[in-house]
Amino acid sequence: MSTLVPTLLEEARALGWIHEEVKAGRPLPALEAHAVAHAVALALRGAGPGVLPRTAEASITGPFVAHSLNAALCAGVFATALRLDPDVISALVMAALFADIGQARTGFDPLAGGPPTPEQWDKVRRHPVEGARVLLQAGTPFELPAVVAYEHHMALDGTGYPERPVKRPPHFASRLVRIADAFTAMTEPRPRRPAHPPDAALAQMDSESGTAFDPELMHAFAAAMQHLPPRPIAVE
Amino acid sequence: MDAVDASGTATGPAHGSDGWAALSRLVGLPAGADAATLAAALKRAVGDPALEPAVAEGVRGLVEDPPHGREADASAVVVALGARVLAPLMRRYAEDVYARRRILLGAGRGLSADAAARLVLAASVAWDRPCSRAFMELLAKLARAATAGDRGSALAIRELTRLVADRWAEIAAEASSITYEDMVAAEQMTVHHPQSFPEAERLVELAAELDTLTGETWRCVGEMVDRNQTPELLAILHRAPRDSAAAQGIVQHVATPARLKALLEEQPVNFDAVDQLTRALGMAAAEILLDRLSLAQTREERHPFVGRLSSLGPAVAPMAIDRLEDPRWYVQANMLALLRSWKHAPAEVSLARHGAHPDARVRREALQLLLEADPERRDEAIVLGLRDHDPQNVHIVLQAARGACPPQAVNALSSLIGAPTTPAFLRMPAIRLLADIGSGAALEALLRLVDGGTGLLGRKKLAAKSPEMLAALSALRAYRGDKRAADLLAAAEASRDDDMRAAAAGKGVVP
Repeated sequence: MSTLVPTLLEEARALGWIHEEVKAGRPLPALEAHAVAHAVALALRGAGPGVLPRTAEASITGPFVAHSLNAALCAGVFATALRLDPDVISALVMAALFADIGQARTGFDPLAGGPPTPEQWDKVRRHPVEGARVLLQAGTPFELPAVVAYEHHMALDGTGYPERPVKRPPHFASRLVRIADAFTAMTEPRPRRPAHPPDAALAQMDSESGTAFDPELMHAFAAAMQHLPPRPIAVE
Repeated sequence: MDAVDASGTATGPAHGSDGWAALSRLVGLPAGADAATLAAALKRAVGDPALEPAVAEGVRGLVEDPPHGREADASAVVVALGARVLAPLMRRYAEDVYARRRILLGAGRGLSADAAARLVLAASVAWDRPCSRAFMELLAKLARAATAGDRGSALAIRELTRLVADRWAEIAAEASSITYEDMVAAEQMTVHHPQSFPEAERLVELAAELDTLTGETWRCVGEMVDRNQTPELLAILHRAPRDSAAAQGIVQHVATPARLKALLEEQPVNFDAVDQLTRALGMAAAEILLDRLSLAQTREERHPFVGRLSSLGPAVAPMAIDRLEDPRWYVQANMLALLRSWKHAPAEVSLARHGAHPDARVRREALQLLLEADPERRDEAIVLGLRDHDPQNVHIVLQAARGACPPQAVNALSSLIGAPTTPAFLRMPAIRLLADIGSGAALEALLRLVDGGTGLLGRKKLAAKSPEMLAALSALRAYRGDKRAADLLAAAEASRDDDMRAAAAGKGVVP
């Protein structure tokens, strides 16, 4: 299922540099962010159908970059399986790529160590807001990534974070990226646990279909990941 | 050719096939020279002070508007020139924001991805807009893919070129130089698909929650306003954190008297939205709210507007006073109610006019205003109000007079108590007021209610028992020093009637 895409080095380097810029409190380098998203989309096209491309080992790129690239690739494969417009696929790839950019501003990397302490958990819960702010301040075309960064930990049933005064269903892109992000995270190894096998990850996610995950998208995702013909789904 | 005169001096870029021909002739080639030949000749001309300005203008023309059907040739020229040759040509436009933007937009629109990428690289050097290594690497990678036939990368280069144009051209400083065609061209490259672009409501909500305003936020605000979704917009902003300057800024932006008026014309009125606009408009909201208040014909209709206008403060009072001249009863009543909310009774509120108005509702508001807000005219208002034909008005006055009823009200109270048409619920408090007044005239009025004359043996008789008589009898206790009162109380105390005895003892009958 996993295929290494050897041409993602420039993208990984650019993404790492972007992460450092944001971490230093500087604005999102918009041109670079845009370019790296296009380059990831190019890698996706290059990988061809029927595979889920994964980037180089996290030990080379760092866990944040590896996860961001993998999540973006997964979102791209999923969006391609849904037969969405190429422009939409590109937008989703970009949104997935920067969904966790807020981690750079919280001063805590949840991918790097053991389980977060309560204080660290507060920082984790703040990353959607921080990320959305960074992306929104970057202007067009980072509106969708900003929305996705803000909403990608919000569940359909109103759980998740950040808390909002009025529950609004997450945007289609947020629901899609949430699935890709969760699947990617579960199938990646972490210091405190090994990677889940894809089937186990899908089974666990399926058990939360309708609450944590959009049921129609989840169904289509499971089909896509098992190389089954995707079922056309209605999109709000 | 307009662009280059006979001496080779540039006068502006020529476009399309004219530009190609002019550029070819400039470097000594026939008008139909091929791309490779033209590029080679141009390279030789660069550095020649006599030719370079015209060459720069010619290349600019090729980039901005390639000859129709020969876009590939124009791209080939740019690619062949390369970033190293293009850079000094582009440097001529380093100070020209308009030209810079036109060149980059043209490159993104009409040239091949490879040519556009080279132009961006050249411009980066020429215009001192350093690009990160990461960007250059990715641009080159995309350009290679585009050259190899990847359409997505070609589109990506176009989009990146447009972004570069936006970010390098300091659009805001030179907004007036951006043509409509530029905007249309930029817009055509931006596809707003619902799956890949958030709804206006969602973006405004996010901007308000994150306290971050961008140009796109304002576009979304405009979109919602254009769709007549001002109430929805205001609801979103109402939910934003209280300290969100972005939310407050948007409310200030959309708050106009015309929008407030439009909101007030909706049924039912969305008062949450009205309140937001009212707060933002301040005194500018007053006339609109006064217009709406003027038309209210019931207390329920009036109440929300009085409260909102009242919160704007007494500075609104002169506007309300002006409207007292309106002949319509409800306008006058509403303005009086508003003045009452500030306890402000100006001289324009007249007992003679408003206190004697043909409509009881105007009289009621005027009486209440004067009773509550004008100590100098209070007694006069009580006397006038006690003679009002409207029982509700009289009741209001009776309640207001409790504890401090002026002596000159005795006659009005007596008339009220004695009138056969007076409802019982007014007589009792009127009798109580007589007791409070404590004057001789008040005593006489009470005695008339209790005194039943003298019996055959010369003893005082009590009047026939009634609630009013019992109330007056009880009230006489305040006048025990008067012999007539004392005799009547004694008669009552000796009565075999329990109610009479109770009233004389001050028990049981309390008006």
